[in-house]
Amino acid sequence: MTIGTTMLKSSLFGALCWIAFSFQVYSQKMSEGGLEFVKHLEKIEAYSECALFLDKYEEVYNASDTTCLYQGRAAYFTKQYHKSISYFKQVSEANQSYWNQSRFYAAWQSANIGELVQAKNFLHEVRASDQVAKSLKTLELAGVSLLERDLKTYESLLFDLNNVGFDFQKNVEAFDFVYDRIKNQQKKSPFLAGLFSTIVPGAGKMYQGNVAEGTMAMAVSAIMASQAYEGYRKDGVESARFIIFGSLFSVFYVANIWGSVVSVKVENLHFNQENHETVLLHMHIPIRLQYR
Amino acid sequence: MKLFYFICIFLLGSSIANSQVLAGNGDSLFSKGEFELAALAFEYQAFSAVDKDSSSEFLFKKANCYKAIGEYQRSLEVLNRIRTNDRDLKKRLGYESALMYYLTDSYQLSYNELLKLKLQSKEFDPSIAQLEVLNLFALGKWEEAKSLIVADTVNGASGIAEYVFAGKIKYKDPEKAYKLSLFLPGIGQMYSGHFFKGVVSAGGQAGLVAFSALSIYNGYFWTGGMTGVAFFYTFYLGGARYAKDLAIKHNQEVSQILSQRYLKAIK
Repeated sequence: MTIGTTMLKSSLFGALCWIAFSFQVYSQKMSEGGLEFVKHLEKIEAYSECALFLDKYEEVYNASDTTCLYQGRAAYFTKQYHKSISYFKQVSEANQSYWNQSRFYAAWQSANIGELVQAKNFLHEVRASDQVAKSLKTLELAGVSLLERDLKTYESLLFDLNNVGFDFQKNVEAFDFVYDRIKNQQKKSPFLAGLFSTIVPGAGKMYQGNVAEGTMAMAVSAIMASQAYEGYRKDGVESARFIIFGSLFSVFYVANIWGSVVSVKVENLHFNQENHETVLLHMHIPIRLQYR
Repeated sequence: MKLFYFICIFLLGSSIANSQVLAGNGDSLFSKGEFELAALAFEYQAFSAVDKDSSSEFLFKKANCYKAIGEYQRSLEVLNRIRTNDRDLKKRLGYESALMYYLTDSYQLSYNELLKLKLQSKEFDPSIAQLEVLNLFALGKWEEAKSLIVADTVNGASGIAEYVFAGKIKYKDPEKAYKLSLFLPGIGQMYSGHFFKGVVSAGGQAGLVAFSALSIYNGYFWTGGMTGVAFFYTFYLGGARYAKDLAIKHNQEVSQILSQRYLKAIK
């Protein structure tokens, strides 16, 4: 074989490679170099640059599953949840890994913004073909049921939850802890708190569990009452001193009753918020670990 | 051989594909004023650079893009990623880092960077001296700044120090203001340069003392003890803290005036 023939063949091979590469670029896949660069931008946490690069990439080569997935991820990392979900929605089923990843991230973000029905829909779309995806799906569905305070659904998932494997054990334990807390919650009544504070100022806050605040309210009420009584004892009921301190005491007394009612409501809100955050955290960790 | 061709073509194709995406390289985008795209292009050039030094140079240019659009914190983050052994780049990197720290109000960090630079190079650098003076103003070390201006014959004429420090320029020690107000309410505010606020604070607290004393004298122990003394105590400590804040604010304002005068003088 002459040198000329070898060079011709090699050039032909090169041209074929170039055509294949161009085809890859203009088809629905992102180029290898582009994808590596996007991953690099994610690694250095330059998420806005990553989104900008993907925008420009889509302008030239149109959107693909890869660009939508990484656009979704960039928006997720910058906490633009609605934008992220809309990108994840555009990921097609062509690549199972991309599909599942987009569904899990979209589900978690939906749960985080309070769209629990949407979160469940995304989770039902997950293709649980392997054990990890199946376990993660169960775990996420259990999390959403706790967020909905739907204890029956959570109980129906208990058998599957016990078989999710060691990797998710800590998350299951956290869910069980929240489940027990919700089930055994002794709800405090705002009415009773108000009633107790009416009888003895500060008692409502003690009933709510805030002994220090209750004691403080009791002490301040006692001081104000003493000042009003001092005015009454020395100058009589029509004196300016009694009217001023008596009014101050009355305002404080009523405010304290109202404060006790509100503090019980706030306490209930805190209880729900604390559970909510624990569940969201333990829904989030396994997704992040699975799809870094 | 075929594999070599394949790799070359693949890399070339990939590079062309990405430069098409960014519509040019960093330098051309920068000259067009498209700084965000230029930053991205420089990041790509740094990412695909074959050696560490050219990668560092591209990152340095990227930091410059963010500086151009006033995103100093982002610029600083990029500068902090650069690792180089090149002496010239190291010097430029040190100065830019100091400048970005100054522009993000981290004056002590900026000053530390400048000290490191001065240790590395024994030669006098006028731009380093200028930034050092500005940092010393911001840190409240005005006397040090003054002696540096006097010693610096490169940056300007000898009259600069007199021009910058013209008029009543006095540093107010915040701790001193706090202690003065604890000693006698209102005096700390006066020391900080707010005479009227000092009078109001002193008058208000004197009134509360008088109210407490009069109430107790007339047998109103609860009223005098609880309302009078409790209010006095609250205003007493609050007033001292306020005096300290006023001194800090005064120093910041004077620092700004000094910096503006200095920049005007060396222009």
